[in-house]
Amino acid sequence: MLSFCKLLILIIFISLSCADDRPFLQNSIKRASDAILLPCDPYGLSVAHSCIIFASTYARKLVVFDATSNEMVLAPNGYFPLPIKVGPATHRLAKITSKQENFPYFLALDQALPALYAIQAFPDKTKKRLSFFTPQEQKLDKNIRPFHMAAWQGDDHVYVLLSFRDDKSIGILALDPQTGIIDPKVQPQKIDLGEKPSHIVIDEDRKFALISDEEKHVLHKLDLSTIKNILINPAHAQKSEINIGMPADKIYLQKRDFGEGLKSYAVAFKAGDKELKLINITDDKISLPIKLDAPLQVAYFPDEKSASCCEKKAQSDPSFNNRHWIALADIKGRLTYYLIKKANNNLTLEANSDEVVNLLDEKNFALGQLLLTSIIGGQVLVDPALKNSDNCAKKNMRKMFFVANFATARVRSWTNADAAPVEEEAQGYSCEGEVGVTRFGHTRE
Amino acid sequence: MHFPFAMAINGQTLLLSSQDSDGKYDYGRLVAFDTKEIKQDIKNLSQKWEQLVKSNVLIPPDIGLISFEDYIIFASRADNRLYLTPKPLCNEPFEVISKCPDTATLDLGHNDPYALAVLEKKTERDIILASYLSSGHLDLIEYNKKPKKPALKALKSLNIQDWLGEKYKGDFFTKKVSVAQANLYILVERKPSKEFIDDLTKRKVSFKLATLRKNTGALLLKIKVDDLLNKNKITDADIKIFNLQEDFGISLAQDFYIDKNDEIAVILARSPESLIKIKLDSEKILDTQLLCRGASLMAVSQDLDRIVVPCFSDNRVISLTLSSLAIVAASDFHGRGPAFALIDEDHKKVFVSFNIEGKVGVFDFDLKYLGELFEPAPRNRVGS
Repeated sequence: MLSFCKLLILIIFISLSCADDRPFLQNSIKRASDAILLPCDPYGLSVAHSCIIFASTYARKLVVFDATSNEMVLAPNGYFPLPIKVGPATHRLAKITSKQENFPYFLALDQALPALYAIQAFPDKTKKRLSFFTPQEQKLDKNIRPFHMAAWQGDDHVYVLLSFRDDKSIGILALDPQTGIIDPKVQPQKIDLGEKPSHIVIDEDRKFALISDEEKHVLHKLDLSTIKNILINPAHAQKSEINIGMPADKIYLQKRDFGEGLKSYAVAFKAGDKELKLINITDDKISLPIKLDAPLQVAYFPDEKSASCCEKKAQSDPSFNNRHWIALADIKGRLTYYLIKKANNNLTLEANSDEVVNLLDEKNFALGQLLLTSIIGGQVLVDPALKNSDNCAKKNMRKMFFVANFATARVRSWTNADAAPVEEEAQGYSCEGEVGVTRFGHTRE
Repeated sequence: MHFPFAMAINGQTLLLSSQDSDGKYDYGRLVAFDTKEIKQDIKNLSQKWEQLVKSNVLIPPDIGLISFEDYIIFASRADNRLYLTPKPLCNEPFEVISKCPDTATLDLGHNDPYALAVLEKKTERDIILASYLSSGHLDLIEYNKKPKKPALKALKSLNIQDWLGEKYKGDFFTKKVSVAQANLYILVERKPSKEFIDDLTKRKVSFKLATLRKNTGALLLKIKVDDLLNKNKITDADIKIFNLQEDFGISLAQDFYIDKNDEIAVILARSPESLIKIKLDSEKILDTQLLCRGASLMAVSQDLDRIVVPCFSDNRVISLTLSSLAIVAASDFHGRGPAFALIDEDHKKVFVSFNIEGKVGVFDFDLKYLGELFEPAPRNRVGS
């Protein structure tokens, strides 16, 4: 018996000593329905890290990946990812657009209940509410189901916009800026808006919100400076329409300088369509439709601090050596970098067709099929106390994270025609602008 | 009840059937309930369900989907026969269905019959279509109503493989068929042909994934019922093909629904496991929604704007709006292996067969659990 115990201890010791000291815990982020990248302090050590929060609609929990230390944020037992308990269909997340660098909380939205959760990313001053502690469920109007949300910090509240696609309206809530609890003194309001309002984005200066309308083929622009008046009377809403002439359920908004000074630009398209538009929101100018050869999944539109893309292409065409690009992923699993160029006073996209990244390829994700929820990214905070072996950090490069909601590996047996594809976890990253992707937790055979 | 699976409803009559794919039992059961009576004392249903049974006949152990309009039809995978009975009653309880006086049967001649559709309804005769889970055969069967005992007769046998020409090579099999506005829709998956597999093993073709993808995938086919019944030869020109893999990224599909106006299709995809709503004329995606694991089939009510999906692997049931695929409710755990859902529009209830648990759950429209029919199997019987 004693020798058996010794053997057991030896096996445990060997397995621990050989293990990666920062393992990616596999099978903890399957079927991500949304993800956000934001500053956090996962263990309350007063050091800001960058965290990716993952929502998976039916998982009834959120999980957190600490992008600074390259590991999952762990539960108190130290073995499993920390589950943040939420509702039965919590599908959306939103960070608060704010001037404050380390905003204390973020939001999660459950479509079925429906309910809103404010979850601490940093402990509060009293340390009563720790990072990622189980949030309070704040029930919303049961008769209308919110599809999307966005939030920003105003003068005395955090305001949340919710889109109600079936109700042709959007809703506004006012939250306590410290706790994220809905302020009972401020009556939530609803604004009738178009035909099918869906995706909402907030301008980084918090001056306006854009809401895509899938039926009316416009972007609604809502002036946020009058938000207090809207909460008194929704008829006071200052809104206008930008006719984009196509349905859109995805909008990416950034302030960029494409040679005309710093302006707000939006990339809009409908997932599954082959057409997108680039819109100069500041001057209300819309690019000609940009047609692609395969239906689109998601885009990555970096901010003004983006890295350059397309090093190899720039050797033959120096115009590609710049930071004016977007990356588009299509349903065939290809990621293409497009240079944003000015031609005849109009913005167009030129593909870097020499360096199309086949995400499914053996050297990238090594998958049979990949469906992306989003690509998020930017600067990942560095913790000087941690040894960082990450390639991008070594090169001081920003990162792009690929968030997948479904992926399959190739069929196991080539000779068995009945072999069904095997579902795989497929979250990954690359350095911003680079060609190639690394899949978390994937060991190449 | 062992392995409850397919259900069907017509008026106030609810039919429940069992599907024993393992061949553990010699017979399955087809049980009929009156939905009006499943209302009082619903929490104690599992103790008194037998009092509510209107009929209980023995059927072959492994049947496919049930079609229940003017009469009941289903096909058995155990003996590859089609069964038709005008009513769910036999003279004697626990009678074998083939011995019931009004039941007609027909040998189908192909393996794994599953989904059925009534293509044409006339006073004297109807035309029924049978499809198969392991091949692209489609059989047209005449149901002659004139004789005292109903009679079934094979009319013609077709094969999807012959329709699609050179463009789509592979071995096809049918997941589901449905008729909308005089059009027949057929959901097929294709796997690489035996020749392709031979070539692959002999390394005559490349092992690249792209090559395999070209030889697999799901298609939704649309053909006019008139053409199917009257044309001597169907060609690819007679068929509208929705290439679900190339155009919508769906490589495997489980189920589909076509709306009453024949304008919109909702595809329940297995890979990726999601619901995808497509406008049929423009072939554009209207909405998509991720699903839970093991979404097997869906129940749809256009009038009540609802889709209910049982999730076999997650042991939950979810409901969504048909109009925008918004999630309305996700149930708690009530049993293992939810496999088939049915919406009772009149009473705003949802019935779900828990295949592993051996019971049928009754839910309200918000997926609150009301009770169950049949005594559930012991928890340690089959793992899940």
